[in-house]
Amino acid sequence: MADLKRILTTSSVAAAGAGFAFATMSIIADVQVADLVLGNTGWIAVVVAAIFCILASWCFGELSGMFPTSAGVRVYIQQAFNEKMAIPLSAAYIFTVVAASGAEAYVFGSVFVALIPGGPSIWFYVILGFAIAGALNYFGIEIASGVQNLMAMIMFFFLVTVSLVALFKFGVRFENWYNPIGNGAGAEGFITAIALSVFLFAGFEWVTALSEETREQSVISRGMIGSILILCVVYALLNAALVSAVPKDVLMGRVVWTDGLNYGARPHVVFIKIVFGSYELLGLICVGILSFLASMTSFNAGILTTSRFLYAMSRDKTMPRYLSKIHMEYFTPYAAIITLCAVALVSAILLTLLGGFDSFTYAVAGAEIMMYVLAALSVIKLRSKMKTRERPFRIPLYPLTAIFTAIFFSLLFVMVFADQKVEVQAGFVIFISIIAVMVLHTIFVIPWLRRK
Amino acid sequence: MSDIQESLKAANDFKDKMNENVKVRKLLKRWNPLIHFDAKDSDVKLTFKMSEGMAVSAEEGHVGDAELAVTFPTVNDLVDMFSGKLDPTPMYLSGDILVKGHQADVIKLDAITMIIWPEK
Repeated sequence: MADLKRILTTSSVAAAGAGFAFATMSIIADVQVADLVLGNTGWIAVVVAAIFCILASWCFGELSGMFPTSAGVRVYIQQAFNEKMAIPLSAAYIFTVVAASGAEAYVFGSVFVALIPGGPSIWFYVILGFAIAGALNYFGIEIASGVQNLMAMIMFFFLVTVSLVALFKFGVRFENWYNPIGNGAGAEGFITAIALSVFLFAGFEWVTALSEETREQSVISRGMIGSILILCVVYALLNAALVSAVPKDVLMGRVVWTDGLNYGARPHVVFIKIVFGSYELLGLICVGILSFLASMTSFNAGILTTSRFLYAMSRDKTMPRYLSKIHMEYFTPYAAIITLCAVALVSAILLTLLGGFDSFTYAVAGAEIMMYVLAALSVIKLRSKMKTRERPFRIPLYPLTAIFTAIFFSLLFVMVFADQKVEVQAGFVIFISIIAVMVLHTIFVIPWLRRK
Repeated sequence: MSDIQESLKAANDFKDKMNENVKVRKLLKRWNPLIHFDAKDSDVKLTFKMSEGMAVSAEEGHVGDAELAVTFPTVNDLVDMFSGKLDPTPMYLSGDILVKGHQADVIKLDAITMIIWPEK
């Protein structure tokens, strides 16, 4: 391999992966996980999900080593199966993530509406969020990876510290902090909690798009594991701390807090208020900064990755040609960036008008789990289809690990949508609708695009 | 002709053609990368140097630390690409041509291919 001037290291890949995955919506998902299980045992679901995400990361590690391209998942599925399967599923996965950015924008706006009473309306913050992330991507303004990683680490350090303080101050609140299936509760809620916990790690695999910026493939594989471990510590501690400090009904927005506000879309605000006590103002400033950084890194990474993906699909004539336009001054795929910002903004507008932001945690968890199953199946298929292809990283204990990953995540896929709650079923409808649109796109639009 | 001679000749022809292309020169006027090329099935190694939108040199071996490293599956693909017979985009998108480097540089390389091999 040639000597390159700029290369990514394992620690920067780990920080980038954790930063990609961490969003303000993640805190809501963490609360939803806590609500699905008995007492204060949500942290166990988070840890179990992390272990299985590591198995999935091995699959992505092997695939990205074989095909180190920014087109990522589409290439893996296409090489293992066929284009007709690869295009709708990978595009649905991408568009689900983009639509979820609308939910993130809604939550981002809700936090600032609560923090600045009498300030601008939620629309201001939603548009501001996309304007900043869109402009950064449009003009190709690159935040130095060191700065980005430092910001991510400060966020995680803050959350871990606050969680430990909360646990020290309030204890674990419930006697049961170790047995999620005890007291005759059965395993169903716990398995659904594990499935939903996958949302918390959604995005760790996006670092495979950085394969082109590494010298050794092992950097990506190790970086993904590093991201999952960082996120696991942060979310597991936060999960236990949230429940110890604030009643679940308040966190879920079923009951208003003593100040008369409903914190359903911003549970971390009430959590910080309670933990900081008489230093509430300081805590709220920290929450503002945390929410801003979390949402911005999430928007920025989301638009950056998905715009490159859309651009690659357009170059491959599977998306309209205008999406491959590159800005001749800034060298950015500006048409794809503007289109994605528009889609996310429409999603945010619909959510603000109709409600149901919490459905997106289920839709994204479903899309992620589907992708993990496909990654495991692709590894299995390619081991027989491309026996001699170079594999810089191989899954340990193959085929057991790959088969187990495929089976386990298939089960989780069923469980994530098994609940009859409205938000869960709405999440399923969103997910299926996006897949249906992409299937129709593959059948009717792509042949037309290729004939043009 | 040996692999390296053939590759070098094709690379130099490509360099001259690129320098004649006003659009490429204008597009890449502030881009000054070193690009390393090689092929998996051969020892052929080339370094392509660009400065202010012009391809300055194509020489044998890997010289210096590159902004981009491009690996072709075969030396024939490399020669065909430099000869203009092979549009590298489909092979890149399918993961057969390996490109290492920062995303901003990768997209610039793609911009060149869009001009030299326009979509039909």
